Amino acid sequence: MPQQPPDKRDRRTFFAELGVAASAVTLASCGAKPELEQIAGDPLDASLDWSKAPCRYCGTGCGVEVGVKEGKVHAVRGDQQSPVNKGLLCVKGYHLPAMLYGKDRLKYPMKRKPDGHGFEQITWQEAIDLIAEKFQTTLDEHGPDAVAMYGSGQWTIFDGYAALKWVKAGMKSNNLDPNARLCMASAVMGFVTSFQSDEPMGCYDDFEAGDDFVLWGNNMAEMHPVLFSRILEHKRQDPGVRIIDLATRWTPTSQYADMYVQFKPGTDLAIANGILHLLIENGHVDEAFVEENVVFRRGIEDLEEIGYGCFDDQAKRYTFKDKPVDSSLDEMREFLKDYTPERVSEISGVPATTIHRLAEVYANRNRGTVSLWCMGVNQHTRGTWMNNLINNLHLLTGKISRPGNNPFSLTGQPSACGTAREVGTLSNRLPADMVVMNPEHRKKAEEIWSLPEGTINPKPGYHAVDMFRALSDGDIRAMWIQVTNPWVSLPNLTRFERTPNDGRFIVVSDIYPTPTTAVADLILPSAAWVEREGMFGNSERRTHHWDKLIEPPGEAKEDAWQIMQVAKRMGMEHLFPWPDDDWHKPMFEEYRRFGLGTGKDLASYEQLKETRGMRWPVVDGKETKYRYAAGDDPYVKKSEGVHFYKAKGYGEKAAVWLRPYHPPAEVPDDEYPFWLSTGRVLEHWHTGSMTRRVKQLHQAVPEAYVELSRVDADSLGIVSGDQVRVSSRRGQLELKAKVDERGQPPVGSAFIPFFDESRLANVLTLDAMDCISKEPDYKKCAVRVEKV
Amino acid sequence: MFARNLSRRSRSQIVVATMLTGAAIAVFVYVKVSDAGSANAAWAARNLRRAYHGAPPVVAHPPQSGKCIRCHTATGAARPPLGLAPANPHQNTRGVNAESNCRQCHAFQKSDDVFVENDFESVTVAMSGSRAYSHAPPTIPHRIFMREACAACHTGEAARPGIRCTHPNRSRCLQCHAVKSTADEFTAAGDFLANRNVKP
Repeated sequence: MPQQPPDKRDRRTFFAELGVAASAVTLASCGAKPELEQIAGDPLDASLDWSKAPCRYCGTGCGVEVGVKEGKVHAVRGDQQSPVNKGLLCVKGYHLPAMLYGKDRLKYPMKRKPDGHGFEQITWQEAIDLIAEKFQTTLDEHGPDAVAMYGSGQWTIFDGYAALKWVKAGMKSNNLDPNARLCMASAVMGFVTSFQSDEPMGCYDDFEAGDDFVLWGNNMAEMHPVLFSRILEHKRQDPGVRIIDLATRWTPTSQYADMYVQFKPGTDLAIANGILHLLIENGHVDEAFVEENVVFRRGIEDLEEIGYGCFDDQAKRYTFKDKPVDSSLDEMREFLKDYTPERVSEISGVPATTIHRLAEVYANRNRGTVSLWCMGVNQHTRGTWMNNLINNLHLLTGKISRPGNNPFSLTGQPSACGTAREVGTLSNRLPADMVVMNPEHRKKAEEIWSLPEGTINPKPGYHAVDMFRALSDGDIRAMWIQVTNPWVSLPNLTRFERTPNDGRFIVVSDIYPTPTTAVADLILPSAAWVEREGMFGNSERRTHHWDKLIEPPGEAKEDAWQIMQVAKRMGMEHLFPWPDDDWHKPMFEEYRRFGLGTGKDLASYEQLKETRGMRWPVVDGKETKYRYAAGDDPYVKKSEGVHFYKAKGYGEKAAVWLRPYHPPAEVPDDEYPFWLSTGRVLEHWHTGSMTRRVKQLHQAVPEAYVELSRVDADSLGIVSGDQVRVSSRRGQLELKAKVDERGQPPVGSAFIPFFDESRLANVLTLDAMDCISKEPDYKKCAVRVEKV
Repeated sequence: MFARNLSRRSRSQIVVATMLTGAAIAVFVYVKVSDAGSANAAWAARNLRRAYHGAPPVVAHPPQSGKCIRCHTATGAARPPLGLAPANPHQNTRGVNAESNCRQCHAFQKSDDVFVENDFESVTVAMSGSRAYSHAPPTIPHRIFMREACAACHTGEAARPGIRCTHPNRSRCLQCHAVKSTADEFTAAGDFLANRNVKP
């Protein structure tokens, strides 16, 4: 908030004049920094210099105040002025400062020694020369398909934009993909196929506006704890609020649920179709809304034709492409005939009466319904379909683009939305919903970048899994990895092993040593979080800027700087024409041009510096809470109600997709009788490279484990804490068993968190993937469990 | 910081020694009731389980069955053999309630190992209110967001000597003790005065 309301100022003055605590009340201004008024209310307030920033970790985008003294971060506190978290954080956020100070921070560029063993320190100049030379040679000898950059939803907007320009405009390649492909790609394709524009229409205000919160495979209490606490507080104030937890295992979220619905892995498709069936059969379709705002589509539905990606002996590259055709509500009614509650119950294990109750939730026009999902729906061999089906539930009932009524996809990384999705650092995308396949889109990008027509390559590049497969096969010869740890996070990890001096050149930029830096030929030290200026975009379309607050350690540099230096060394100065000491603002202003006037308008640089983030589209300095809604979205006329104006291809309507149930790629059998799901825990974030270096977090969850049900543990003679071996068709792993602890899987299933680099869950997982988004399925494969 | 270089045995000896020293300090603190010294000791003891002033404390005991607030009540409660369960200071915090997910912020510690040594340093801050003159009520020397329930730390059995309130029957603390607050916290203080209904 740039301004205090006058009444608050008056009250403060009043108190001060009374002399209450007058001796200690001092006002300190932060100078050019965002206005954080400081009064000596606490010993820490006066002893540190406080500034605002978003949290480094998940996609919630909590506001934190960062306390700095003598060039070091000593404390953070939840930012009470942030509308996202209103002062509250989670245990990871509160322990942010120590994340910067692990003893093994990477401080200097390091090159692998010629014999392949160990690294030696080199200068930045040598590092930049080496990268430029390797990429240029590869381009000259093998063309733009042989170079690649693998980035991150943790890239700042600046980093992602620099990468996009270097790869797509500089090297004329589209081999640029982020780890968000492993995380959010199905949500992207869900929004794109349903609304022809990525990202949700709703926002966090829905947590106070909704009545029923339906969690589709989403352990929100651990993965988005601060947002979950907003729902819990709403529920306390209004006991009528209900949390409905659709899950494949009992989690800390389940204990707060009013309704716990346990289903067999992958059968969420059947459940959603069962609900749609009942909504149509029982006359709960909002016909006026559908008539005005909805078209019907269906795509390829044949299981054999679609397959599951490169799983098993299928094709080397997965290039399945859907072929949409028109459909109708009548055809949908017919299509859904098979999804009776009884049949859905057989598939999913959910009682038919429960399917009826779930349908009633969506059917009830007097109660606001918010659907929430994250990795359960996205990391799914039919993840885009599942996204479509959730969107369908809201479109058929008209429960969309209204406060408390929305399908809302939660994101796992701090800038999965801001960078990967909005900047478009995916192998097929350009900024602001544009794609490389579309000549008009390429033309617009070429205009903004002042490049000759025809510069941008129209052929999409490798998506993440194929990119690493191409690296293993030798088709990619030079790769740069930034802000991510694929040698822990890729599925079916043993597939991607490499040996030094194998004719490929891999650069890895990171802040700590990881299993990924271990396989690099060149390691670059990066500046982290508030060691550089940045912007993240969170789950609710909020772009949040922060200033550089401290110097990075040693010679660490920000990722965007690294890319620009290499690009300039490769003769691409024209792409980055800004002064070395003042490029953030002009770069952002250039990037901002992509979205202006398209409904993806970002706030101005100045406004973003001042505020706790702004939700796009921002027009005339005003943010948008609800997209497509009259009165909220400046692109919708007052008389229009809801208008899906981005969906030009559907006549500015949204598409309801007919999507069938398909079984998962691999199901348990006699040899591998358990389901395995993988995921995160509250205390660790992703591959743990940051959170494990924080004492309080590491000591809370020091190692990965396998959760088993009490029944299975008993029958295998396993007690909690025993060492067990978990094996799949792809690999095996030894770790401790946990029984009856925070998560309780049902009989016949197991869960392993993936943060632990010494116990890699991903040697077990399979690289089957979603047919449209190409996002791998980390939630369903078959394993065997034995006592060691 | 040096734990990595030591054998597990000598590390556990250090842990035991530290615990004994801690217990000795606690006993010492308990018997010494004079004002400033024990307030500082209470402050030091408080910092042991926090990464820095303002960070949520880690949980001092292994996971127990049942809800946290069963023991961490409005006043705190004796729970032998674990000891005194400190009261819950968040009872009047907007956004935190009896149904809250305590583990969102408070982590159990299952290991005394570290993954990699860490150079993070908290800043040393002194915590004491100021008095206008010798018998004037001291001002509140800390933020009250997340700590709106004064009684949690300042009265009851689990209140540390030195910050233990001498007049627990008076329930409107802010009548006499001024909050040195940011402008935003005026709102919080206002809510606090309006909503406070927990008797010490």
